[in-house]
Amino acid sequence: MDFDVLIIGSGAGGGVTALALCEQGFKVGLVERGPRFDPQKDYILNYPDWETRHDPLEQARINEQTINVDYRTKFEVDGQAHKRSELVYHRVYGVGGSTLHYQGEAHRFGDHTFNNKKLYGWGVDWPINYADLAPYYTTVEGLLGVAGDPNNPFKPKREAFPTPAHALSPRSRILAESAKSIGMTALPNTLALPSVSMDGRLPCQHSGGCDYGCVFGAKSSVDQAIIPRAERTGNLSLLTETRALKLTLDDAGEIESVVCSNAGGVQQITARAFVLAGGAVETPRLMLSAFSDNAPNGYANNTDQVGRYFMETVVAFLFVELEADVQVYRGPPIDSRIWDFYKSKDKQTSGFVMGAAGYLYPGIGPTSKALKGTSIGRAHKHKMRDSFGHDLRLFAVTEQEPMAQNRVTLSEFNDDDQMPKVDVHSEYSKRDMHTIKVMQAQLHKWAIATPTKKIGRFGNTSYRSSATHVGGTCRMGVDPKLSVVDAFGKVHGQTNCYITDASVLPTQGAGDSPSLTIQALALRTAEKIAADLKA
Amino acid sequence: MRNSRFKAKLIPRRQFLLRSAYLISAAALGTGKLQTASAQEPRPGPLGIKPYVARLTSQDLTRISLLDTIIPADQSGGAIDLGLDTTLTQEMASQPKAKQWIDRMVSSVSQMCLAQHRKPFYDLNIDQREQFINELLADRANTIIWGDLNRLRRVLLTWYYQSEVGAATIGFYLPAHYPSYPGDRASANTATGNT
Repeated sequence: MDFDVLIIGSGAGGGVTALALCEQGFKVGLVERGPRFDPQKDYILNYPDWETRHDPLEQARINEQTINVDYRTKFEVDGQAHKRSELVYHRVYGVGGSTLHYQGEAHRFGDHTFNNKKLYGWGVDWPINYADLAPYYTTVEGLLGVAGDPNNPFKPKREAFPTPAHALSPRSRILAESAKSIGMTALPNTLALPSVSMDGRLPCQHSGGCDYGCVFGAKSSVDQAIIPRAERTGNLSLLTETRALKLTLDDAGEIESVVCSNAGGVQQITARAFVLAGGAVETPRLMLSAFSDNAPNGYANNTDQVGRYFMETVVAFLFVELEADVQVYRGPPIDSRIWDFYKSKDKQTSGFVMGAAGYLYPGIGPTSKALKGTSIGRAHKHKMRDSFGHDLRLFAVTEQEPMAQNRVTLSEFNDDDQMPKVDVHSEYSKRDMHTIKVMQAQLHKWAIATPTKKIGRFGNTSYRSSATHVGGTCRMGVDPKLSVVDAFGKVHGQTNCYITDASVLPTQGAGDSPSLTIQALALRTAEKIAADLKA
Repeated sequence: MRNSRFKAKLIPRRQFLLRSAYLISAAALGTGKLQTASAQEPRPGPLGIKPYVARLTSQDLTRISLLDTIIPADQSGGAIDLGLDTTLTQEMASQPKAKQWIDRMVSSVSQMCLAQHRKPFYDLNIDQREQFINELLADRANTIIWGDLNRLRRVLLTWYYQSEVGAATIGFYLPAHYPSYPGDRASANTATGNT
């Protein structure tokens, strides 16, 4: 055997699984398709031309190889053309995965979000509840140095956070005042952006640049907060720029090895146990493309559940131009949040959260702003001085209703490595569309209450895709006929395979960000792996 | 103030170039027509050193004036103060295609300005120059000049706002320059109603 455990994917789930197993003395191989980035050299915000510079963290999206992106633009439902924009799936190839570009949001899912079916009559209940996950949340928060305010009335009671909440940024103070005036409560967000130094790293510098990778190495992305600890155990072999092409199965349909390729060629890697942590698209792709006599529909897919219940980010947003010059891009990107609508208010509407995106992104950078319109001269300079740093996007996020027909399937097309791409079928339910309308109404109310120069246009992801949090496709459950993994992340009917990424999520936490939950689940699964290996 | 340091350092260059424009323009007016570079070459100075101004043609001056019109100096420095005229010249020297469209545009602007105002573009005051360029940018009928001018606008604004000094004129600094934002727990708590 090459390793005790081979993990595919070094993102939120894979990285934490690796650390937990390394600390228990297991030899772990961690396969990562992308490189290991150097924050001071590789991230574009180190350079003045960042707005036009190639962003290495966007490599996965720009050179999309996994998804047949044309699929959604022409799919049909009941013979009717049902056009949607291409699925824009934001993820990162690199050690740390999508935590490299996340905003550091580190949310515990509220206890009600584990029981949507029981409480609200839709979706599905998790096989575990908040209490099962709470100790793992605490451990992960400690590893990441999560900053937050424990007195959040919308969340379960809890102990103090490892680091104190950040003071609200100037923009959030304005937005908190306006929210208060209409009966909403903007609270400090909980963030994996330590407010005091962790592990000798700088605390968050409030640069607003999380999206492009933290140039200070302050954000607790997996490459900064988790991997170095795992490396210190001496048990981690990090295989970067290595792509897991295929699972090879034995006669019984169990994983025998993983075929990987890198600059050195193609090799088969064996292990006592395998962990799939490539995300809700890559993990089902690997499973569906592995066949044997005992697995004619793909690995662990005899009940046709692999790839089903795909969920993407459901977002409504509204552009506003604030009256005050508060340099909206300063501060942690999403440093406050409104949880007033976190629980469903009626049977038709899903729970959702609201916030304001003030982070740096090309659309609000100096050059993008300067190039808008055709004005020149003194008027242009005056306008730049007068309006730069005022543009803000108010947003609301909910979870997509899990539906069996929303699924990842193998495409007829192959990628550059001659591996099958996938088609991603994702349509919004009536509930999703209704919730979008409710979210837009609340955003508008908030915008009107805020001192603005201009309230811009609405947008939402029902027609303009921007999927950052995708989940489902290998969901967790008790019944193998309706799920892929059990309550500990172990693949039903298999002895040596586990999943520790967003694909196991049965639902998406009413719009809260999933990374902390993925990591807490990964710790729990790592305990199970360790117990199984020791048995 | 956002730009005081920048202003003090760069204004002399602006004054030098614009004074050059004034001198050559005066020379051109003196003869009743614009002259070529060789014709308007000034006499050598007492020590036989030809001043820099001698190398500027009317084409150069029009180009420089265009830069000064698109990003003028006001309370903060403009394109010339930042040396974008030099950058553009270097770009033209290294990229024949860039030279081609920039020369084409400058010639068009010169001719159209002479036809409309009966004086060279660089002789117009800033109000006139801005108005003239704004009219050209609003007139899509003349595709070539409209396209070239927009291209120049795009290039200059990108260079300007990608530069540290240009970005600083709107208070933007790259993250590496950031101190944490001012603020304290007490005022944040007041805003959120936390205790």
